[in-house]
Amino acid sequence: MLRLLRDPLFLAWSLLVAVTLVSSRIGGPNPGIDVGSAAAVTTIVLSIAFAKVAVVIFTFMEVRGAPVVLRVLCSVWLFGVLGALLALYYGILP
Amino acid sequence: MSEGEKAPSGGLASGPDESGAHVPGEPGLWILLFGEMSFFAALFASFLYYRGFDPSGFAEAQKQLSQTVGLINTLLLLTSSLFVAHGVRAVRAAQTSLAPRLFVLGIVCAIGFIACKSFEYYELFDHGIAISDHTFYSFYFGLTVLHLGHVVIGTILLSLMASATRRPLKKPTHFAMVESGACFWHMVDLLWIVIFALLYLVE
Repeated sequence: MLRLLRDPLFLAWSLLVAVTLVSSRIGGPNPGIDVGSAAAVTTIVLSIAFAKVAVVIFTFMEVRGAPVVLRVLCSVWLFGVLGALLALYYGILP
Repeated sequence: MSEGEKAPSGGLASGPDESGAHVPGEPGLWILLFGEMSFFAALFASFLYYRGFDPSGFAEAQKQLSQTVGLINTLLLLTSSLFVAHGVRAVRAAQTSLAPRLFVLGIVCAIGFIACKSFEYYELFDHGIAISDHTFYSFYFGLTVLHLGHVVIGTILLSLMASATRRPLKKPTHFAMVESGACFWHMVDLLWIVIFALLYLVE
C-alpha cells in the first residue's frame, strides 16, 4: 500500500481523478447563473482541463524525461491552445 | 531473457542522449501526434468561435447531454492510461506475464468507453435529436465521432501491444512500437479531457 502511494503514476492518476470530480461538480449547465460567474466557471474548468492534459503529457507520456525541444513544444501547445480558447470565449479574438 | 530481467538499454526504445533525455516512442511519431493535437485544437477553437454567436442556444443544447456519462468516460480513459503507462513499465522490466494483462485492462476500459458513448448516442437519437438541429450538435457529433475513431484505432494498437509483449522484446524497434502505441493512447485520453470540458462543462 505504501509502495502504491509512492508510485508517481498512481499519484498522477489519483490527482487526475480528484480534479475531474471537482471540475465536474462546478461545471455544466447551471440555469440562472450570471454572466460573470459563468465566465469564472469556464476559466476554472478549462484551466483544470489543461492542467490535467499537462499531467498526462509529462507523466504518462514521459515527456518529463524527453529532450528540451519536445518539452518546450508540448508546453507551447498547452499554453497556446488554452490561451486561444480563453481569448475566444472572452471575445478577445475576433 | 527471463521474466523480471532488465531489457537492453534499460528497455528504452532509443537510448538516452548525453543529458539522459529520451524521446518516448519513435521520434517521427511526434509529428503525427502534434498534427492530430493541432487539428483537434482548431476544432476546439471553432467550437468556441461559433458558441460566441449563440451562447444561450449552445447552453440549451448542452442540457441534453448526460454529464454523468461524460464523467464516467473521462474516468475510464484516465484509468486506461494508468494501466497502459504501467504496462510500458512492465515491458521495460521484461515482465512478460504482467505487461499483456495491463494492456488488456486498458482495452477493457476502452470498450467501456465505446459502450458508454454508444449509449449516449442512442439516448440522444431516442430524444429525437439530429446533427442538423443546432450547431452545438454538429460540433458534438463531429468531435466525438472523430475522437471515437481514434479510440477504436487506439484499442487495436493496445491489442497488438498485448499480443506482442507476451514474449520478451529484444530489439529497440520493438520497444519503440510499444512506447509509440502507448503515446497514441495517452493522446486519445488528453483529447477527451479537453472535449469533456468544452462540450459538457463550459458555462
